[in-house]
Amino acid sequence: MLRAEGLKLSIGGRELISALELSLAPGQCWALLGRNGAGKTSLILALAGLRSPQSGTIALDGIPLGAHRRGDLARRVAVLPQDEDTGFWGSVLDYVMLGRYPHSKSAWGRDAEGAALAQATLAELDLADH
Amino acid sequence: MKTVTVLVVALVPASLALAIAFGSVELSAAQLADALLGRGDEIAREIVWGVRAPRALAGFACGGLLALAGALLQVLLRNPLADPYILGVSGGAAAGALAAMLLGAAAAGMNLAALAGASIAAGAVFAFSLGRSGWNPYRVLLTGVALASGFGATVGLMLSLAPSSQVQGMLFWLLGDLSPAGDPTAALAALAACWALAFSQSAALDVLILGEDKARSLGVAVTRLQSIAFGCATVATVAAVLLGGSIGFVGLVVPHLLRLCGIHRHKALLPLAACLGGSLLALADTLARSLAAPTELPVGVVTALIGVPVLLLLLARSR
Repeated sequence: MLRAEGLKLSIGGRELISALELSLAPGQCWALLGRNGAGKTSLILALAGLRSPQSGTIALDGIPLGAHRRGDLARRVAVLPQDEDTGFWGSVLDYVMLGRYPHSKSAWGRDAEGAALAQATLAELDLADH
Repeated sequence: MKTVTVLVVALVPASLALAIAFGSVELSAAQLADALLGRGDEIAREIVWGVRAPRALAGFACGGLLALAGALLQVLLRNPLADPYILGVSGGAAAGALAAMLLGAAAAGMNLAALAGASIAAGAVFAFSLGRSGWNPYRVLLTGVALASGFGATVGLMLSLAPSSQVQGMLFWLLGDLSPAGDPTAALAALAACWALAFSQSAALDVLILGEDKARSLGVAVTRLQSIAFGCATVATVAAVLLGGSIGFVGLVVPHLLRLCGIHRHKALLPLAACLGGSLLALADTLARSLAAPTELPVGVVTALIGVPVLLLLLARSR
């Protein structure tokens, strides 16, 4: 369960979100709508623990985001912003494998288990050869 | 990629062997073999072990340091034009060294002044760029460019005020020159230390290419990683500049040459950049010593004259 309480977000003195109460339960799928500049990205970054709110708390399973170990949080939270870099050097598999960083056990060795998982998923999506 | 790796690794002993074999004094193959084994003509032994071998290693260390710093700065600043001198470090070192020359200091004094100038520049870049929310790459670039301009003006002022007898020595320092390099042990140690530290972060550096937010969301300690990599790049640049002055183009071009050959992962890019940068500079210095012998050319001129067409050729082929 991801829960935000009394959340306030502002950028450059402009208040975007105030006193937000939000509970996201496992298995749910949410969409966030708003005008340009309304604070959608700021809220998502805050919920992922990438921006600190001006006030309020965000907790995952009852533990504040800041109290989770960095690697533990990274294994459970994934963010895919819209600003994708089109100049990436490698294949789709290479790109997906960067996302396995928090799961790989060794900084040097090849993550064979992760590569097999990624390849199987990409094959299902007809992306194996890209 | 395997072919490139083998070629780059093989280039290391080949470039060092060529640097030891060629120079302003011609030595026959037999003389070289004897000197390498510590036998025969004393002059040949002194040329090989006392002059050429330390200088070849100095060139290798200097090139390796510059290429390593360039590879790190290009990913940290996410800017393909980043090179070691963007930190303003070489400008600071040049201003320090030239001021010491003007005051008639000996080599040790010049090195100390260069180190002081480089440290002031690096300290200023760090102070202006590291805030509460971590490193700001734009501020690194802006501070570095501003400092480089300021030091450039200072160097210009000193060149115009210097007596003509000192101007050539100053120009060699500015263009990059390995002739006063001396003992390369400290630079080789700096290369090994910077490389080992940067290499230990190679998986995280791969992720940093995605951008800071994505790297953070994947569990990378971004500010710590940037501090380590900026620290390595700065120490590497300072060590290289103290050894050979401002040798251009190696730090900018070598990482790009490898990327154009398909090497992007840092666990391959960092060691190969150090090897290729070192080998190319050892070769360029051999040319600088031999082409117009007994006159020595500034090696920085040779690296730029070779580096520019090679990079353009690779760019044209990879279009």
